[in-house]
Amino acid sequence: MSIRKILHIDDDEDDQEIFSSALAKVDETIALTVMANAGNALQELSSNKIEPDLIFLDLNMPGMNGQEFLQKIKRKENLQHIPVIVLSTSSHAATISLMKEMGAKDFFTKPEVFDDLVIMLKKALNDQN
Amino acid sequence: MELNRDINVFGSAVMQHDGEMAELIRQYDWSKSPLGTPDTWPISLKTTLGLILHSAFPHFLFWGEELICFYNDAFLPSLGTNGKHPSIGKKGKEVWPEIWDFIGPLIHQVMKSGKPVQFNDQLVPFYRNGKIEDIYWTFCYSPAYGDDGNISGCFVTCTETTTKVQTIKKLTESEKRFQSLIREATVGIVVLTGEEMKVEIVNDAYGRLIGKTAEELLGRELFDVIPEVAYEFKPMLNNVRLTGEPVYLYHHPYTIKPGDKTIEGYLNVVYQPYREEDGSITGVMALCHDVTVQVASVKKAADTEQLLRSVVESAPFPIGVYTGKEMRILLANRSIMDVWGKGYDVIGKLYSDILPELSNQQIFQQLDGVYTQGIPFHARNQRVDLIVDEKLKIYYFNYSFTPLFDTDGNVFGVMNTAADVTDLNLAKQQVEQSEKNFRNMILQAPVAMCILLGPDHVIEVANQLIIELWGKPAEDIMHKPVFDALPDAREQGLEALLEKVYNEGESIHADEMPVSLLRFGKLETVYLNFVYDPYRDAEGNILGILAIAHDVTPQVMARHQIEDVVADRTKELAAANSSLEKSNEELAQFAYIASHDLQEPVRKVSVFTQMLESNLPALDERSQHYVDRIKLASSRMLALIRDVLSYSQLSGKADEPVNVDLNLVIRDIENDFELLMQQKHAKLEYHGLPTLSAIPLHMSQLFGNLISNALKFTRKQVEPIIIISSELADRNLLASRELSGESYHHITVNDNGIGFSEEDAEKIFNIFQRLNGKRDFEGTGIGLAMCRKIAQNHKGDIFATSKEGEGATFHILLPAQ
Repeated sequence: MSIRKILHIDDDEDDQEIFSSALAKVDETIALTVMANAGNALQELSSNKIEPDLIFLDLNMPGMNGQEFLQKIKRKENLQHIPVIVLSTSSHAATISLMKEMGAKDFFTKPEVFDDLVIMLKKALNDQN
Repeated sequence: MELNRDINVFGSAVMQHDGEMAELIRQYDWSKSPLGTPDTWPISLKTTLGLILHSAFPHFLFWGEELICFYNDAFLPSLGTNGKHPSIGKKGKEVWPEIWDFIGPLIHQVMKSGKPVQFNDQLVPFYRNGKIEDIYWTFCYSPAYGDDGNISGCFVTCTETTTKVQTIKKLTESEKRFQSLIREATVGIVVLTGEEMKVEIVNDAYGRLIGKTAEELLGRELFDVIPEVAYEFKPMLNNVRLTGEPVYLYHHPYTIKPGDKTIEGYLNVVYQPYREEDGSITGVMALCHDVTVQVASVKKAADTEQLLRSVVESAPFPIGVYTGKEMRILLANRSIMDVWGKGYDVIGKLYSDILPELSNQQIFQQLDGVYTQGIPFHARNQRVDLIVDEKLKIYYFNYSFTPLFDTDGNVFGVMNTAADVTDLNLAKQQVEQSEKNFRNMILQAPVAMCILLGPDHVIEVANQLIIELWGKPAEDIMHKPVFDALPDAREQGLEALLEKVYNEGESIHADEMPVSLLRFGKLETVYLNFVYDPYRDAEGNILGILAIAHDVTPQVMARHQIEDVVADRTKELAAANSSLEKSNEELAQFAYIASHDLQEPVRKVSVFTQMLESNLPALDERSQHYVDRIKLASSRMLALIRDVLSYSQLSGKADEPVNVDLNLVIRDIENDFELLMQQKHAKLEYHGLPTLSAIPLHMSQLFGNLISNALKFTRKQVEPIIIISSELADRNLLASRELSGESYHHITVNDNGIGFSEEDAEKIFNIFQRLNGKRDFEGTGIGLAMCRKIAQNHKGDIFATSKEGEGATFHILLPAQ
């Protein structure tokens, strides 16, 4: 299945920008929806207003955090099929394994090198395709 | 009737006899007799009567059909008095009615047959002397012929043999009694006659002696029956028979073997000559009395006496027996002679002669008292002074004088038993002396001491110090039960302690026991170190308690003050610690948050710089330099923040330790550093590293940092070689690092880099400590601090040795499993 629509949930505007730039470098044709609020994102998804093929999820967010969001989406029958990749500043092993247990497709630590993020995204999309 | 005529008619034989019976015949009125008057009597009758009357032998005559009776004077005594006499002229049947059934037929038989009949000693009882008497006769009935030659009467010649018969009868009975006496005698009796020693008389008692019955012996020759003793007894018996000298044997042993049996025993024997009536000796009478039992009992008595003597002799305590009022020594055993210091020559001598030194010691009086009164005398622990080895010495005895009674109940002597208790007495005196010393010691002791006696713990001895401790006047408390004397000491747990010591004999000691006492009217708490010991007698019996007390009140009070201060300080310290811990935690939290939050902007600076650079057209040299400086600074800042983050995380909650194979840890690190190692032509050697209980990430960080440092601080022109090896840690090494566990791994990471000077060996583990210029060597200065923290968190340590320019060795000590 080809990835056509990606949802990026992150409250950090800098990271939103870096992510979209990196994604544009990988594939400019992919439609990207960016949401700063996980609770809103869940609502939109539930009402089918957005129907992404892949979700990139930050963990540390005000309101509903990434972990909560992941837990909820994986319990919804109509949404649980959507792959979720966690993209966080954390590199804590325990967090990584916990997220994977909760159904995260993959876990990336936000890199300090821009090109690393590009490579990461390429890999993620290739894996999904 | 006329006499003359009568004379004529009776004939001269009758007439001329002047006996009583002749007179009676003459006087009798025959006119009414069937015989008719004498003038009509046949000549033969008259002749016969003449014969009878003149005979001195008793005769009786029955004549004629009617058997008219005639008898002579000699017959008279047999008729007795108050009997049949006179019966002259009466009919036989009338005179002898009581025996007519017997003699009637006899008379008729004789008269008919003409043959005389004779009886010897025939019992013919008849009436005489006023009664029927048993009378024995020897008599002859013979026919008496008349003038015509026919038998006209029966002529009886008789003699009364009653006396003879009765004598014989008595003799026979006496003989029977004699035989029966012999038969039933318990003494064996045998009469042997003749040279052949034939058994004439024998009883069962004798038979039993030789295992036969009297019947078996009677009539036999004795030594045919018991030939086995002939050699011994036959000559003796012969001698008695020939000489008439009796033989007496006492307690004479004999052995008889009837059949397969053996009879053994002892006899008292009398052999007496057996004389006939004429005094001639025809045999020997033997009287044998079995005295086997007596001999045995005598023997036993002798044995018993011997036994008694031997018991006395071998008794381990002194025994002496003295007889008579004069106290002659009859028996004295070795033991008593040892006491006296004398020998066996004392036997038979007088007690007072042997032991004159006792004369003024009441002993002789005691002995005499026992002898005269028959009452035993006992003495205990009595002092007796004896001359032994010519020296007067003091002894102590328990002794008894016991009266000895003979069979009549009279005292014949005194038995003296004794036990030498001198040693015991001396020991007792010593015990008493040491007891006295002990009490003196207590009184003078420089610590408070007392003795409490008995189950009530009566204060027996108490020195001045303990009286002061108790705080009561001595006269109020001495010789009273301790809890009566010191009611204020009750119910503070002391009762149970004293009971335990007294009842179980255990020593008890207590340190700094607080005791409340009313001392001179003031209630005070004193602190005592004390020892309660059981107080025993010489036999080990518990008499009471020895209490030793030491008043440690001042020391305890002083220490309490110190303890209070220490407690306050401890409290303060704990509070400080707690706040320090809190601030440490807060600091760690702060470090984490700060570094985490700091990390983000720096990361973004770094990323946006890269994005900026790639967005810009070609930069001039100066601009490129600035961009590079920004990139370098931001990546360096990121590294710093990340290390601070890691370090701060070490203080927080750690993961659970698991088994970690260090070989695998190093292999992973080697992979991580692969590129760098290729660039630097570095070699990493490791082998035989242990598996230990550790947190895997920390081990990666620890060895990662060390390998990273080794690759960092290399010498120019020298290809780096890193060698990691392990051995068990030396004890001295552990001690020098103040590690107390049993077994440690000593892992070394050795390089050939630039090293460092010995004085910096410890410094390098401080956080942010850098020895080298940043320009030459990259790094944050946190790595080794982290390594030490990890090692210490694993209850181990790390230190380094090096010489500047010669490489470094890092020594890691980690507990072995």
